[in-house]
Amino acid sequence: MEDLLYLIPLLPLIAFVANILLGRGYIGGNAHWVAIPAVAASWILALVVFQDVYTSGDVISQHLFTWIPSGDFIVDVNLYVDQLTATMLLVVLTVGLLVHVYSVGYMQGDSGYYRFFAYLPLFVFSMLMLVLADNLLVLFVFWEAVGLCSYLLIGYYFRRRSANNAARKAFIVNRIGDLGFGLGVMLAFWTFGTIAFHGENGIFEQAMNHEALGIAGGTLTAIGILLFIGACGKSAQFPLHVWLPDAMEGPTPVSALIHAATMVTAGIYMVARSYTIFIQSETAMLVVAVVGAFTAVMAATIALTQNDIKRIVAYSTVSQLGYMAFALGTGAWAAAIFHLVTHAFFKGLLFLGCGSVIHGMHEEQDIRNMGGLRKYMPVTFWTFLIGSLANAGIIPLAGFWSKDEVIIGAWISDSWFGPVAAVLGLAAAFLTALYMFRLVFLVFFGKERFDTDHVHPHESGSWMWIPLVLLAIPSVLIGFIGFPPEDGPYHHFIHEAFEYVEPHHVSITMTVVFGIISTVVAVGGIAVAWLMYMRGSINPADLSARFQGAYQFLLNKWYIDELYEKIFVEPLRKMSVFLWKAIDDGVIDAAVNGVAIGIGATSQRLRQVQTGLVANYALAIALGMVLLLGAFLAIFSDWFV
Amino acid sequence: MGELGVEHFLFLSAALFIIGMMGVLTRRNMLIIFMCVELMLTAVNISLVAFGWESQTLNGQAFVVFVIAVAAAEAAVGLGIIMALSRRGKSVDVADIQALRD
Repeated sequence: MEDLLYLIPLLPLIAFVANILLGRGYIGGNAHWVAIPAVAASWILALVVFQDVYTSGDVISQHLFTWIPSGDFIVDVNLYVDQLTATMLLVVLTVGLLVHVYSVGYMQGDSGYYRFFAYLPLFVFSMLMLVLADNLLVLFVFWEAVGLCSYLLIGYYFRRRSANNAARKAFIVNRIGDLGFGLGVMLAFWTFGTIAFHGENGIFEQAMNHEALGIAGGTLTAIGILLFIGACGKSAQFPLHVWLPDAMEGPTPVSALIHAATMVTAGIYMVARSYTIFIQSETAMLVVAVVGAFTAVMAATIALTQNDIKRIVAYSTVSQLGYMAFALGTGAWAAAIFHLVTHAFFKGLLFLGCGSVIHGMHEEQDIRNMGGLRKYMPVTFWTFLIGSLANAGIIPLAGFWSKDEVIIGAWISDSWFGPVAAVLGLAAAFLTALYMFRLVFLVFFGKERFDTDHVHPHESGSWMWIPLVLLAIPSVLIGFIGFPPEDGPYHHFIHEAFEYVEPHHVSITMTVVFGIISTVVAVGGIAVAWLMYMRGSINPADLSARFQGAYQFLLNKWYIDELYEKIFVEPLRKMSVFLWKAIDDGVIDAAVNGVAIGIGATSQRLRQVQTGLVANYALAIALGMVLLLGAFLAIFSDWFV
Repeated sequence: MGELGVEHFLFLSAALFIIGMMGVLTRRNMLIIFMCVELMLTAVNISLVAFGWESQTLNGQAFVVFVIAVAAAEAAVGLGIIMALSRRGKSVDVADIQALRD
């Protein structure tokens, strides 16, 4: 099996090459028959690899080639599968495969069909390489590659101006994070003299023995924080979260796969992968935890007031990523990855459900123009309900187990911030239940708020609803891999990957108490949503009118975009105008034009000499000859002496 | 009256050359300028023959034959140009022919 490891990323890459080169001319509407079998074969191989790692408990690695052999700086391209990577492989390929199938229905008849089915396998390839990478540089390269795929797919409808802007915004905001990541890679190489992860001289071993090796703790803190800045960009943590909601301009399957289930978790994965660096630095851990907890609450509050169905789910994603981040920051490594896994399934499901609703409503995205869709699209309704319950954390669905573990992990952590994060997590859980069920009630219940004579919602075709059902199953059941809490098969498996940290041991009482608290909180959120949007005992319009300031603040997403506009975009634009008008036009162009004008003016004078009269030229020749002869005689003869 | 020396021929040659040059510089009729150029060539021929006579070699005379041949060729080309110009512009005044100035 070890010899065939390279096939897992290679197959989607082949599908990409085939579709991008032959798609327009030959494959066209059959592009999915190239992409889906490739990803499906990768998925089967990944299952075999997972099985291998699961039963043997060993790490599988494969050396492909040496990329950069340059003195001390040697970059090998190795594939490395430990328990963490095996988990990620399965998540990426399972959700990826279902999204591929769903896209057949969703993208049908689109003029760029082959293009879509080229970028999607390219993304899968890049994401697989990202999780398989065994050194920082290869990780960084594919980190950028998934960013590129994200850019291409957000801007997929390139004729729409908003899609282009969103794609650029995603790319630019990610570059800011990547600057941190890039500096982190350099600092890591400078500190450790290598960028390889594993092995005796790998960064992780060196980080564990940093005191013996004379590496300052402060350097590790700096590396950790720089890497986390990169993670902030990719995983949409405050203050770099602004691109993710805008990324919903892309086709909905893309939102499900890239901007909910997999790519945005790359930051979480990367921090978890380099956990040995983070556990050496309390400061770095604290930064991760604070940013994560703040993001979780902030994004949840924004989600409360949004009206675009995809944006609500997008802010929910930001909020859930915040959970994962503060789980990492409070040392609940296993819980963070657990939440990553469950979230991938139920959030993928929710996005695909959104796509089904949008499709059935003929491209309507505003939940104020929906309502009563339950009877028009029953499969979408039931699967969406399952996703919402899982997201809200209702026992026994997937989200409950992982979210509880995150909150307990924060509560019992050594850091002073742990309990604060746990309380913030519970608050965010309440908000999550509230906004998810606001969405469910407004979309699927109540009266139709659209023109029933002209709009006829319909259930989506089988290409679309089968993936919904297939994602609903793990959204219900996947939580049980972590049962009993902190002692399930998942934990025994993943702790192998976090060998340097002590697994959490939580008493049954604490588990039950937190289970009850979070259930009460979640049910409370649903009840409030029910009172507001179903029973009508609390009128949301009154509420928003009474708290106008707060409502506007949330509706405008904490004015963060406006703030960035003022702080960064405006000064940058002013500076650019200054550089353009004053420096470029005023100095550089002026110098070049000045030389040209000077030469022109001189020439204008000089051309007066050229009269065009032959006699003048002849006179000049004659005088010149006389002068030359005179000079010749003066020098060489004695006539004048 | 002294003996005929090379300098007499050279004075004649110089006089002819200067007359030709003054004609080239002052006249505006192209045909006359052309004839003056021929005059200048003849002046040169005289000096070449004079030097040849003085040094008792045939080099000067041989040279002159070449000059006459070249002058004949030049006359053919030059007269052709003048014909073309006069047909085109109905004028053989050099002051009217300034197309290259602008």
